[in-house]
Amino acid sequence: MIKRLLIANRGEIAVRIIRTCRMMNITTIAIYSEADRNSLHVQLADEAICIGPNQSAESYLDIDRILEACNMSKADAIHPGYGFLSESTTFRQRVDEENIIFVGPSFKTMDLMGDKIKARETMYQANVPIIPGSIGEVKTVEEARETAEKVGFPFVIKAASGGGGKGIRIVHEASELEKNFKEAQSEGEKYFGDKRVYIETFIDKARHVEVQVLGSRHGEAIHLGERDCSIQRKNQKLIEEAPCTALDSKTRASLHADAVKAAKACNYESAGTIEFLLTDNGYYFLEMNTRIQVEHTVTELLTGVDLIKQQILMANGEHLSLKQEDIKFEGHVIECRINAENPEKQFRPAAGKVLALHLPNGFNTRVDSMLYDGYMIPPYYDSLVAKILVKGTDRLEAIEKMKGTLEETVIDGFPTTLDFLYRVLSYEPYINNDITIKFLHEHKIV
Amino acid sequence: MNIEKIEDVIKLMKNNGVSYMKYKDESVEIELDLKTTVTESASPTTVPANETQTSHNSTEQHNTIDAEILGTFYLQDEEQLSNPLVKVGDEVKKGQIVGYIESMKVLNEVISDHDGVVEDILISHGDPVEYGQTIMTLK
Repeated sequence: MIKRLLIANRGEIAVRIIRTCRMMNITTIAIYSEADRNSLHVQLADEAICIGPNQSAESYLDIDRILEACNMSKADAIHPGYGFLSESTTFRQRVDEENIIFVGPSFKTMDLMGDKIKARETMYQANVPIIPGSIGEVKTVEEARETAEKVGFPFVIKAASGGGGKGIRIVHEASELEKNFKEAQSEGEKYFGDKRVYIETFIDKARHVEVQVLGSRHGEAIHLGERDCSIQRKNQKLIEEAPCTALDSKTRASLHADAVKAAKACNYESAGTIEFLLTDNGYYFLEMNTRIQVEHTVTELLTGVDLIKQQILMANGEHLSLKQEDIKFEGHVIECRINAENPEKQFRPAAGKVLALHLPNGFNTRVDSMLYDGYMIPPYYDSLVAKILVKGTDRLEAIEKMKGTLEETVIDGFPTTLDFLYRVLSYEPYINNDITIKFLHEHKIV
Repeated sequence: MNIEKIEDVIKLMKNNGVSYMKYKDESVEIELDLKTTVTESASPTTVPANETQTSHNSTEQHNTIDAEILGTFYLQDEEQLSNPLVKVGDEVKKGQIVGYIESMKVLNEVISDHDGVVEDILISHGDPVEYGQTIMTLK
């Protein structure tokens, strides 16, 4: 049983985790960098330890310091939140070695799903549709040519450990193949120490639809419905909603069933997300996020299930007490991410002091934030400062409600995405649900 | 960087109440310290000279030795305290080892950055210390 939980994170997610722990009578231990001395998570936690200087590399990303903080505070468990070390298999293994409970999946699961080639193979074997392309590693230019003949042009060469746009090459014609193949390999080697690559057909127009799953170490798994996260800018989600109204009921049922299959195929224990690309022709497994996500709140507001609580129960080794039929989906939820960024200057991150603050409230409204009056946002970390969510009876009502909620919100002292998001919500193609992941690139809304 | 530009920078610093800045690029390096002349942009002439003087002196007098890593602080490299490396009243030299912090089972030396006399030891032998916490003050 977890009694003392160290939260290896900061910002709104640390605050979010503390709130559930209070309800569960778990003592929370915050860690912080010098820059975060006055952060809300430090003030709300039962105990707090300064572990390093401003730079993440010497604080929130320093495994030794975090584990020493566990020693010092006699924490019996760690919650990694999202970002930072949440998907680090090295960290996962070290936590095991120190005999501390990790609130998340096992090392084996993280290792399997973190490797994109192994993840694709696992999903293929579990009969979950994957993006057409190679099964397993493509070792030589010759093999790449054979795969190219099957999938056709254009296609994408991706590094197995790639991410953040690194180690990805689009191949439009045969003459580019050899050069791009070698570039993807060497970029994978350079940035991730892993030169293995694989091939996928190029999907241009698609929605990003993901399914929230929950699994226990006893082999039980359920889904908590899907979220549509197509409104993105450079792979950063800005608006998330649930359900995805572009799905017909048959496709939705099949998507949910495949997500549960996927969770079972990798022995998933904890809360996780299976990401899919949804096209006119069907949906395809993209990757799995083996951690809590920023937008888990969308599912929480829709279903009434506290996912952090479920994560802690799963980490305690309990059986899943929720049954699939217990999960009800009613209404429509929209989440807006308020970032301290300047949309008029290519969304450049902005730091500053909160000079005036009014966070919205109302029926079926939720705000997750670490802001308080006078808080100074340090310039070293993520720009997310608040998540505002509303639930309406349907999508159109939720859009109207979100607009009213954003109108009420005051965050002064630095530029935010607030007005930009309002413009998106008022924009006709958005209202008409005519959306793909390219939406914000095709429509200049700034 | 010419003299006009430096004047501009000084003006900017005064207007924003900045008393010290350092700038460096490939070609120039400048360091501006307005501490003794201006602390308040609104009324620079009324700042009492002795006030800035004392604050300057006090930082010189009370150097601290702060933890550069979190862990357990020790005054000697053994769990039993029999012969501490330093005691209150001892003279320490810059670069001298004054204790250890055990972090993840590794002993890390705590080194004084200043010459001085140990005025106070704030962390006891065997007590936890956070990053940045003051372990000792020197005079």
